[in-house]
Amino acid sequence: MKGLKGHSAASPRRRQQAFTIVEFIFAAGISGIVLAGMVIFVAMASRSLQGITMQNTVNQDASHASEYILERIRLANTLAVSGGGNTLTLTFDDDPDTDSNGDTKTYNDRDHTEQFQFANGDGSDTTTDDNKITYNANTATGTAVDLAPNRVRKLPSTAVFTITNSTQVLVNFGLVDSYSNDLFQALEIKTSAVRRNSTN
Amino acid sequence: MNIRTFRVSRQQGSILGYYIIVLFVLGAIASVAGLVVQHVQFSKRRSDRKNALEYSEGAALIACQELNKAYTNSSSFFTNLLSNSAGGYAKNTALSTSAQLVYGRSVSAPFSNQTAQVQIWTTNSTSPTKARIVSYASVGSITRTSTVYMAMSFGFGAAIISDAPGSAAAGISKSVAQNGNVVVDGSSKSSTFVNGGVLANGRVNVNAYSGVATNSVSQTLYGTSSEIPDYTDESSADQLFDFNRFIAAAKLSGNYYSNVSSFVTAGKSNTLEGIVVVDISKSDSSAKGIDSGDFPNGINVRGTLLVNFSGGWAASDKLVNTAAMNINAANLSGLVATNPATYTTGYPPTFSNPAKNPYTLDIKSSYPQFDNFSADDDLPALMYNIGILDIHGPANVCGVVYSPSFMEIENKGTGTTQYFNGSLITGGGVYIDNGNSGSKSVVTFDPKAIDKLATSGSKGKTVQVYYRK
Repeated sequence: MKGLKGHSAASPRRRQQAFTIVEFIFAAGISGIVLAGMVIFVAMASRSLQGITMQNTVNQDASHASEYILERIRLANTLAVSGGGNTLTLTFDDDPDTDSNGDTKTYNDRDHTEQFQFANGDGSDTTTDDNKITYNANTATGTAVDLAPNRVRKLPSTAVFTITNSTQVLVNFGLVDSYSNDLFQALEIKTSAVRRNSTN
Repeated sequence: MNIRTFRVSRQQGSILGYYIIVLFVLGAIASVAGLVVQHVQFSKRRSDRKNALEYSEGAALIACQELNKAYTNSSSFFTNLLSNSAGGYAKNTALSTSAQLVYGRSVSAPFSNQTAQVQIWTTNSTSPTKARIVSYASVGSITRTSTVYMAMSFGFGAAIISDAPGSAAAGISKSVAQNGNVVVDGSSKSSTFVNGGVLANGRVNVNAYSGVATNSVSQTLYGTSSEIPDYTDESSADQLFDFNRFIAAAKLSGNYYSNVSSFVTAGKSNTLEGIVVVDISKSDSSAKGIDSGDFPNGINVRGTLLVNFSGGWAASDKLVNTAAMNINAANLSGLVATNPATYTTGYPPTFSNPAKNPYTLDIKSSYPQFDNFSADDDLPALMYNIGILDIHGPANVCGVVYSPSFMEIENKGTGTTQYFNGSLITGGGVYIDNGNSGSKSVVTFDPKAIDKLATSGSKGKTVQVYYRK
């Protein structure tokens, strides 16, 4: 009984452990299809995630840069654009109760100058990877820092900075990501601000 | 037993595989979540930064409005601040000193679940001329500050401001003007130009040669929400100037002349400086008129000329002046009457004699009821009270001309110029007539001569922002 039991118990299991060649090929085929689907799904999800991430980054960079530029324009007392619309120069009165230029008006002094500048790294505006917008918090003493680091592009036939009515600045620029794997994310900013201080 | 052992070891191997896969998946989820959190935090910080600025600017705006209300309402400025209806201000004893006062409050309305702190910084004066509002708002870990600098400025601005109710008459005769209206009567033979608008409670009647642009006129304001307060009624609470303050300044600086003859003696061949007052009594034998015989070089003043009609003058009584009148005179060598680009000014005047400088006079020590003039103040160029100074001769006056009476400005000469650069503020209407060949009559508005007008206390003033930080 023991040998018979052992035989009768082991024999079916050995059969279950093995696959026929047909079963194996069928299983391998199914597995391959599933795996291929998973790889494609992961690759697409990854690419999509990269795109979303880059779009988010571009949005943040552009929002931060434009909001900061607008904030400073609103508080400036003079505006000037030069360099074909690439440079915006703003002046500020550091102490509106002190007349530092001796014209009897305390609020119209130009105590310090700030500058925003679109700059390309290689002399060409079309290669966007090295284009950026820099900000200098005091042109007399400070150095420029990157406000919109790289990927900045000029919009077609449009200057980055334009002054209208001597009080309003139009700000136009784009951010573009040239990396193909995340589907070339891009964004355009077209906005404006009016300075609320003056020298009159 | 062997069989059991074999089955257990296979299960352990499978679990390890599953565990690796789970770790891989969890790791992927964690890294994605980390990225998302990073972006959300960055986005939230940017949003907080923006919201904090907007809350602080909103609170500053509310404080500006409350400051204006406190300054322009009756009763004292600081009492009004303490009883502010939307929330009383409290004195900040830690920041206040003997020279400056700081009042503050917390602003919660109209915000939702957000407060901002506002502070009003002023000089320690019953009628401060400047104030600074500082507001703070914190959102998340971000605190933003807005600072607004405010000054009390004259609330109206135009070349001619007439607060008389006027009449409904439409003509351009002098009698229509005498009813409290503004009349500008030009001629094809002369050049007349009014630059900078006309504000009138009564009517503004002009002819085709008046040089008044129709779109620069606001008339019949009496009884409307835009009515000009009665700035010129000598007994009203709105009267802009206390003439006695100017008389006190003139007395302190040796510029007070009790009759026409003493004024003529002093000014016949000199330019008078500072606040110059001439008392003209109705019974004064010289009160019939002033002419070039009295002032062959004209009346020349740097500062303010106050003609104080006293002793029996009625509102319709007039003193005719045909002598040239130069007060803070401008260089008119390039003047083209119809071209505002050629208008120049002699305002503000410069004083060569410090003893005559009204801005450094200590009036308050001798006359405690009057405040001193401050360096920011705009002083009128010409003032006169009840009675009419009828200006017939050449005039070159830069600064405000103020009178509760009717103003009569008639260019009676041939080829002569009457030039007023500042603002005419009248309580009885104004008549500007220029009919002679080659003559020029110009009235132009200069905001720099009126925005800091040295009115009594806060009369006519509103609070205006002059800088934001």
